[in-house]
Amino acid sequence: MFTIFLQSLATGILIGGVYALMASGLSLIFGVMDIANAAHASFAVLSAYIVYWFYVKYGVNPILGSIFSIVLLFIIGVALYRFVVSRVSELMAFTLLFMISMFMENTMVFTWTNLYRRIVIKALSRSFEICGVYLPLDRLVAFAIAIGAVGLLAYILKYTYFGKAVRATMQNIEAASLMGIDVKRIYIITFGLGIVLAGIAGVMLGIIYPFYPAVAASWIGLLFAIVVFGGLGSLTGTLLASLILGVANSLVSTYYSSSWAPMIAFLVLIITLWIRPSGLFGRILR
Amino acid sequence: MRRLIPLLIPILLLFLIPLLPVELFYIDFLLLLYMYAINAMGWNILAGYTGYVSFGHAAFFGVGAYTTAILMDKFGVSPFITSILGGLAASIFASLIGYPTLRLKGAYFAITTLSFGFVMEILFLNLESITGGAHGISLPLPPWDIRTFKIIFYYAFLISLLLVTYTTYKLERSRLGLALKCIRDNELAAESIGIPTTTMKMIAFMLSALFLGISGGLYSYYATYIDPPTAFSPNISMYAIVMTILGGGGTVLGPIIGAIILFTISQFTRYTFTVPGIDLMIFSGVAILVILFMPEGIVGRLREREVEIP
Repeated sequence: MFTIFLQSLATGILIGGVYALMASGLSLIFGVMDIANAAHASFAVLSAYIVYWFYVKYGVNPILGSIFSIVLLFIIGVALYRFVVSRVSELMAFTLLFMISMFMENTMVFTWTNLYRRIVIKALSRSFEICGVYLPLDRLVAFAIAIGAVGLLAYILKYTYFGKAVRATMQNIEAASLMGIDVKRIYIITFGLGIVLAGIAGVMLGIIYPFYPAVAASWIGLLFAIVVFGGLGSLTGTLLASLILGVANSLVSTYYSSSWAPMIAFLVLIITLWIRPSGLFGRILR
Repeated sequence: MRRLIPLLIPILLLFLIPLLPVELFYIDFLLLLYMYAINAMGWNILAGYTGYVSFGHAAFFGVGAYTTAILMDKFGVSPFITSILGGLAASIFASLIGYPTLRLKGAYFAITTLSFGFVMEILFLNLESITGGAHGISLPLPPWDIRTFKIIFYYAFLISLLLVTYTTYKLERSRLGLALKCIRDNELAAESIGIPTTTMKMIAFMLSALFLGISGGLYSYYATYIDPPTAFSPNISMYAIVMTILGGGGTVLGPIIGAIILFTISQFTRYTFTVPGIDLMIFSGVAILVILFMPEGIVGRLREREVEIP
């Protein structure tokens, strides 16, 4: 009985780490430029598809495929912000990005069909057993990479000049630009960086879960719930919220029914916005 | 009265169409077009006039559809009463969901409504004892022959469309409409000049949901079968959004014009290409282009021209 609980807890934490990676990109974009990237999960799926096709069709090593996918997504993200998203207001940007996600989703259906895909890596299809709790190697690796990437992001934000500029922009655009920060450039790079984070997370999710184009729609609600619950612009908050929601989803799936799991994210979102709109760690009250 | 004549003639023509010996396909085409136009106009009341862009309006369509289905299946209530009840149910439901969400601004409102559309499908899939879960509900078959059946629904959808058009027309010229537009343009200013913004937004939300509920209520009997994925299909929200954006949000005729153009395109592509996803690809593509290059929509653009000429 207790083993089941531990197993559920472990699964939740492992998946929570991957949520954190995806949500941190969303939180970064939302926090810095006030744009809710409705297409965030679609970029994750796109990245999973790129790696999948390179791996299956041409036998390209998934690591190499991921690097290619990351570079490509950064270029797409930068171009998308520079030429498309920056042309409209923040409010309209949500609708625009939602339509872009719809366009991406249906183009993916059109070119790659609706079939379930999964990046199966033989070397990772093992699992460890600790006290009756099974830890699949692929999830462990995904968790480690995700936490590593979030850590790297935290390091960049905290200790580099670029990170300092990003945080300054997040706090006060006018003051930041008066201090000589090229705010426009920060925006462009942040957008690209956020989408790259989604891309890495997409590959991780493609390894541990089956995916298909419409799967983005079921992730995006969860991601927004995490970002709002954790508090905008707080990486610690996002990480904590991801782990909490990952564990909550896992526990509900274990003890109740997996079909109810998406309700949790919605309830968390509604309750957070109702009671504490700034989230767990958010400083900005809206 | 004289001003009304140019309006009444096309309406009369629309009423006469089913009496002519036209193929059933066209009646079917038109009644579905009316349905999407009603949805778009309902969405427009909230998003176009009030500026609160909702991505989960399929929820109200679904609530209307299920109200009709459950009332007919379990209690044998007449379908045309139930569709109105469906509208009212959607409206009441909107008031419940509007209470926590309408206080949210901009992207936060959009995010909440986006997940809310998905959650409703899950809720109805799981509440099996009431909704039949994934099996859905089969409604009693209509007693009429197929042509009479379609003609009856043609009129039902047409009358509902006229009702929502009239409501929007009246709304635009009422104090309520002015208040809503004021909220859209600057909510803080609206509040400071004494507009009870919360009440006004709630009325707009409930009115908006009412029409989607009616349309859903009619649809479930028209389709004679309803299940959560069709009743709460994100495509219903998507169609309403894109049609309104293309035609012009915050105008009376915009959503109808958008519906005519896009529904024709979607039907054309459905019969030409058998690949799934192509209609939504075109829809989202159109929406992206319109948002970037003509955010005021077709009617908005025409109106601007009119104003420019002295």
